[in-house]
Amino acid sequence: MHYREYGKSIWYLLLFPLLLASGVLVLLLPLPDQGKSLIIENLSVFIILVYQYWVMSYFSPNRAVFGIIYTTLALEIILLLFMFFGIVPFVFIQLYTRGLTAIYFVLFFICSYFSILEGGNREVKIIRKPLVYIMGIMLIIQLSPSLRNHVVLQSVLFPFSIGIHFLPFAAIHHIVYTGLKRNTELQNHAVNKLFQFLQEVGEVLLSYQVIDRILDELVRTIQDMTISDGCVIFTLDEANEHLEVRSLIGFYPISDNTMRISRLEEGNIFWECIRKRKPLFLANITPDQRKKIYKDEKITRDVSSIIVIPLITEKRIFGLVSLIRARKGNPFSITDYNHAQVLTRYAVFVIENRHNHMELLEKQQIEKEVDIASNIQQSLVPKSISHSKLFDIAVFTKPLRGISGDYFDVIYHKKEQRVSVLICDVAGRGIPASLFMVMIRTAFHLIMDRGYRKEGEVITELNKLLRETILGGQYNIYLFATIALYTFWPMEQRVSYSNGGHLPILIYREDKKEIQQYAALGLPIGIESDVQYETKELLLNKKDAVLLCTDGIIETRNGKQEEYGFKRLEKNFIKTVEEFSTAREVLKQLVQTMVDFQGSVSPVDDRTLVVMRAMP
Amino acid sequence: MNIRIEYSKLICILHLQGDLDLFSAELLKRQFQLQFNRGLKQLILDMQQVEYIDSMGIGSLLYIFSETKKRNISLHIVGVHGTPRKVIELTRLDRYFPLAESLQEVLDEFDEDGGHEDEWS
Repeated sequence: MHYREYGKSIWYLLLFPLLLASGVLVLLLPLPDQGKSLIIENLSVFIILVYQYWVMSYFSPNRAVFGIIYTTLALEIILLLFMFFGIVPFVFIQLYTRGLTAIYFVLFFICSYFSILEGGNREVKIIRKPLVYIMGIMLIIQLSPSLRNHVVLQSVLFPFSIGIHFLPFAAIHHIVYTGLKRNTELQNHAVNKLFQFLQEVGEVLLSYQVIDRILDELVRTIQDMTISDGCVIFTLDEANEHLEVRSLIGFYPISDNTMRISRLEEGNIFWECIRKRKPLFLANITPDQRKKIYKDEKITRDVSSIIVIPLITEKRIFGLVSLIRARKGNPFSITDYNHAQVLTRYAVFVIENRHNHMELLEKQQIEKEVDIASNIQQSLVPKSISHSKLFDIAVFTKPLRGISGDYFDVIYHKKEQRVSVLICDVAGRGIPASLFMVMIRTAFHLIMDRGYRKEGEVITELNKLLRETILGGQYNIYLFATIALYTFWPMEQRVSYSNGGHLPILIYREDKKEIQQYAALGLPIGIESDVQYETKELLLNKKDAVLLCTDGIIETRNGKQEEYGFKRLEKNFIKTVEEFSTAREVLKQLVQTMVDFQGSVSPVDDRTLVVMRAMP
Repeated sequence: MNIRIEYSKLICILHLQGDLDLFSAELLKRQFQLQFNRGLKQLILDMQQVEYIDSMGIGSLLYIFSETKKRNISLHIVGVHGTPRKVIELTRLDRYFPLAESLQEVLDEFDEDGGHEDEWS
């Protein structure tokens, strides 16, 4: 399309009054009728050429048409020159001009009609029908023999028959030109806004409260770019129950007090968009659809056009943008919709990037801290386990990541010839669990330092201390741990134990070649203050073995999603105890079978295993 | 994990579905707080469709239990079976938690107990 011609072509319209005037002017010339007639005919050919040139500027330039125009023009001028210098007789010129005019009109009619059919844009096609009639009238006037001999009629009708052509084209020119001008303005506006937005976002990225500011910027830019009456950003609240207004500009019909929309609101279009994860564009909204924006129709009655775009990333959905127009007959266009979508996508992309970046930084920081915490924690458990001729203890402990919620302790009292073994599993993983582990360890050592007390009493006091002193009686921080504690008196071959919600203590009986389980005697610690834990006693024989483990061992899974489980542990325990004599060997073999079982599957919990062999 | 919420009068039933582990425990806690803020008086946790529970899951149950106890909200945990039941028994929490066999049992109990009906309405 020759859009750049549009600005100039308005001047062609001036030809219309000139044409009408020229007919009359020619009549006033002091010439014979034949001469006047010839001038009028040539004038009309000349004018129609210029006119044709102008019309063609609306279509894709067609070389054939331009060829005809230039050739005709050249011939016309040459003939006029010949006539002027008297080379060719006047009658010949007159005949030629009439023939040329007739042929030319037919050609012109066909060319312009088909050009419009093929290449004309929507606006130019409007003219196709009137063009047929106009051309018809024109041909009749131009070729009618009776008219040709009446110079006065000719002088009025010839220019007029061409002149009426200008009117529809002038109208179309107006439509196309103003439309184009508006479009160009809008495009420029959009591009400017886009650049501004990019610049603002770039600046915002260097500041604090990035997300808030990007959303503010987004709302402002979208509203500006689409020239909407109101634009709003809703974000999902923490429980995913409400859409809350995060940023609002202009007029937007939502309830003024709460500024939020509940998930339970039936058929609400915003929630619909969130559910479907798809944008919505209603150029001309119906009263039924209007109800779905907000239930109060008084508030929404002015809304005429709406766009809703959810703020989605692959991982999550955090809200939506919506814009409206309130005036009737001025709906959003598909371009507005596209612009809004592009801007939203860009904003979401920036937010998500920022989010990932911060997460990464945080993770790195946490990892560093976890390393330090892990070192501290390792210094809190026995580095070497005491051995004696009377018992043999070995421990395997492996935190899931650096720090552990599992805790074991072995306290050997040489003077009293007793050894206490504790295993404890704090609920949860990571930092909270390991902090609680440290609390338990501190309390446990405080109690144990005061001399021997029954295991049940130790756990009772430990529990009380944790609940009342350390947790301050607070229920909100919900930390609890399962705990099992036993003391072995090798001289008496006696074991006394207590168990607060922990997995059963397993004892391998050498004489019967079987396992006996000693299950929990009370609740885990950290739940209730006033729990009394029982102490029970049992006797060990030579070569009997005691096993304590945390549920990380039991819950180890293999590639088939099977659990290692208690039964498998018992079976392997019997097998290894029979095969090996020292606790260290038994433990090593037990751990190996577990590792073989799990294969390449990563563990999901901290794991601890304590084996004691009596009088090996 | 999915949580489906059902109301009848001031009773709120949370139907849990899926694994109750580290991740879903947070979700359950949050959902409970939300329901709690709405002023519920009776809470039923339906664990019929929970096949797995870990220590954090137990922790979230303990949290809900202590919160309801503190604020005089009646709590029932129903339909605990399979692995979760084993875990709860192993940790001795079976005697501590208000467990009930089935949802119907608990609802029947509410219906029979006409004295409370007035308080609800």
